[in-house]
Amino acid sequence: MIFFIMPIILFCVILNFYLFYIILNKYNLYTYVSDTLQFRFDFIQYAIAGIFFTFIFTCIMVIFKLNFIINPIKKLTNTATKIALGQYEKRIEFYEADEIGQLSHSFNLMASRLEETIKDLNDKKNKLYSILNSMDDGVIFVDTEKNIVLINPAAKEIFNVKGETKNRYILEVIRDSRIDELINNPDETPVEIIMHGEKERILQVKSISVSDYGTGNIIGVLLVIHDVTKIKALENMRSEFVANVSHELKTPLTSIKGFAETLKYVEDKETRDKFLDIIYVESERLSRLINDILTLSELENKDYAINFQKVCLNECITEVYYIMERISLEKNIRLSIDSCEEQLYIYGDRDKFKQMIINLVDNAIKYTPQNGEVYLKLEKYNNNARIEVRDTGIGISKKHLPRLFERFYRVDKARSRSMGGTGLGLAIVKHIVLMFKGDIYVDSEVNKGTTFTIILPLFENK
Amino acid sequence: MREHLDQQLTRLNHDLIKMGAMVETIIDKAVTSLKNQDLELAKEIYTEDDAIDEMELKIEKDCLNLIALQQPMAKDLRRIASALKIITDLERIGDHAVNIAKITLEIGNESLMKPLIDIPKMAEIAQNMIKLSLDAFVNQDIEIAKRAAEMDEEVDKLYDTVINEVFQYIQKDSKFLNQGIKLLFVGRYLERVADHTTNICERIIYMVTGERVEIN
Ligand SMILES: Nc1ncnc2c1ncn2[C@@H]1O[C@H](COP(=O)(O)OP(=O)(O)OP(=O)(O)O)[C@@H](O)[C@H]1O
Ligand SMILES: [Mg+2]
Repeated sequence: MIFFIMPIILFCVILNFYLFYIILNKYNLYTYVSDTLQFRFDFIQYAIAGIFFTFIFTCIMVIFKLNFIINPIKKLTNTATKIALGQYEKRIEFYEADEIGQLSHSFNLMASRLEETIKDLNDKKNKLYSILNSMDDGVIFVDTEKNIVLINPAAKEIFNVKGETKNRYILEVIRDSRIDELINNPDETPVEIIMHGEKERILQVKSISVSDYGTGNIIGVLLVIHDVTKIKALENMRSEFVANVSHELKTPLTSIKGFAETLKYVEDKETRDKFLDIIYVESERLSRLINDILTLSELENKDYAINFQKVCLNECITEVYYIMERISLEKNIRLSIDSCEEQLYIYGDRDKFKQMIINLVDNAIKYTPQNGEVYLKLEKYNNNARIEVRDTGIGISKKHLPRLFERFYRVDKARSRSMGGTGLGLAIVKHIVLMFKGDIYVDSEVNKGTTFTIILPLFENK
Repeated sequence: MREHLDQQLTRLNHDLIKMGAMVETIIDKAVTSLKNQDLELAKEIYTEDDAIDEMELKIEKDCLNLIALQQPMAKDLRRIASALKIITDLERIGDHAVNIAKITLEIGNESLMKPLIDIPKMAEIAQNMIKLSLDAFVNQDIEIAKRAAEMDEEVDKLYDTVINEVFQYIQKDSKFLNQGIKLLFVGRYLERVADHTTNICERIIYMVTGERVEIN
């Protein structure tokens, strides 16, 4: 600052001397007034006083004017610092029409632009992060040095990554040489990686080389990780189903074919009849199997709502009771029914409902030894219908319960098959229950009996 | 010059981690292929071991270059020297994976004399040791290194159980002799893998603290 003030002061002093000199000369004071030493001395004294006051005045003026310049600059600096620190909404309040005012105006304009741009960028960043964070697929981006630039929570979970990841070498964080391999050869075709560990997981990893939008230079590699464990399991289930179906169809067909063939050469009537019986039983089984499979695929097709109507459960249950009574009597099993007095209705397919109950009662009779009992019960339960099929049969051990409703699942394959079972009965029941938006539970104790409970939402009469 | 050295050290670090990851995978494959009698997987191990050997040579060359051209001091030198040792141990572990794969291929599809229980358990611990030792290396954490090294004892114990059990089988029926010996070898290899991993842990402790320790 002193370098600024000093020349001004110096300039003022010199200017004063010069003026004084001009005045002396102009009026020719040396000759006009009595030319005494005393006079000259006085004159110089006044002049010096004049100079002194001018000096003070100039100083005050300079300092005053300086404040005018310095204050806005100080404000400018302050605001700029604040903006630099991230308070983008700060502006300068200075409205003079001079150059400083213009500067402030431009500065404010720049600050608004900056605020807008930064907000825009932040928005974009937030959107990107929200998308990445809510994705089920893992996403990892590494730079050309294989340091992690970005990793989303899904990826962290898949690879069980904890702690700081930013800017760390990928293999430090995910120590799997196959990942390294993929980063080295990014070619967009998904590669299957099987992760051993507590739970085996199958991952499909795609690696894509990423280049800069502007310059076209390669800036890193993007890994997209898709967990396909479940899909694979489903695929397996499907192929298992096909294998099962063919196997189940083949067994009765083989015996039909075999017996029919030998039948040609059999003369004896008794053997003939025996063979014919077997063929009949087997074809019966075959047709039941095909019917079951058709029912299942029909149920899976989902446009079953066509036959939906108001169904009276009490009626249906009683009908089922009469159908099954004969079969139970043959096996010397007491079938009893306990229907409630209030008429309960659901909205759905009447035949399907009956088939569901028949399947359950059929099982109960089938898997209950002679002289056992089977109860069929209908009651109202919290605005739902509750149907219970209870038997005093052989029961099902705990370990079989989770898979019980799977197609072709049978606890004791040999026994069930000898009774003509296909293992589709419960799968059909489950499908129908789901179609009615209901629930089914099993409770069973080996050698004591089994209880299947179905809960169905009642039809709302409006 | 200095920055150059730092960069090269980082690269060395990364290569070492990469080699570690490769070894982790190869041991995993060796054990899985034995357990599931997956011969295709066992064959893969050979090519992977070649890659590990190559990696060892590369790291060794880099280390020697670093020492010759940069004249590193104190901690850096210790680090490079440790790396040189660690890669030898890693390479040996890779060889043992190949040895196990060889046995898997020899056994082929003939049914195992007993379901493998202790050997996979040994393998699991050994694998865990490798994993932890690499964690220790990555984080320069000597506590993890110590923990990993201490697991060696468990592996040794399991090895003893394996020996006893196989002997019992062989004594009962000499038809188990052939496969029994093979399984014994697998146990031996795994035990060696654990030993090499212990060495690596000791190296890491030396690298970080400059102190030599002898675990077990
Ligand atoms: N009430 C029950 N008591 C004991 N076991 C049962 C009972 N109900 C079902 N199971 C077991 O569940 C298995 C699956 O039943 P599911 O009805 O699906 O097949 P299935 O009876 O063998 O053949 P089908 O398709 O002819 O009904 C049966 O094989 C049987 O072992
Ligand atoms: Mg059934």
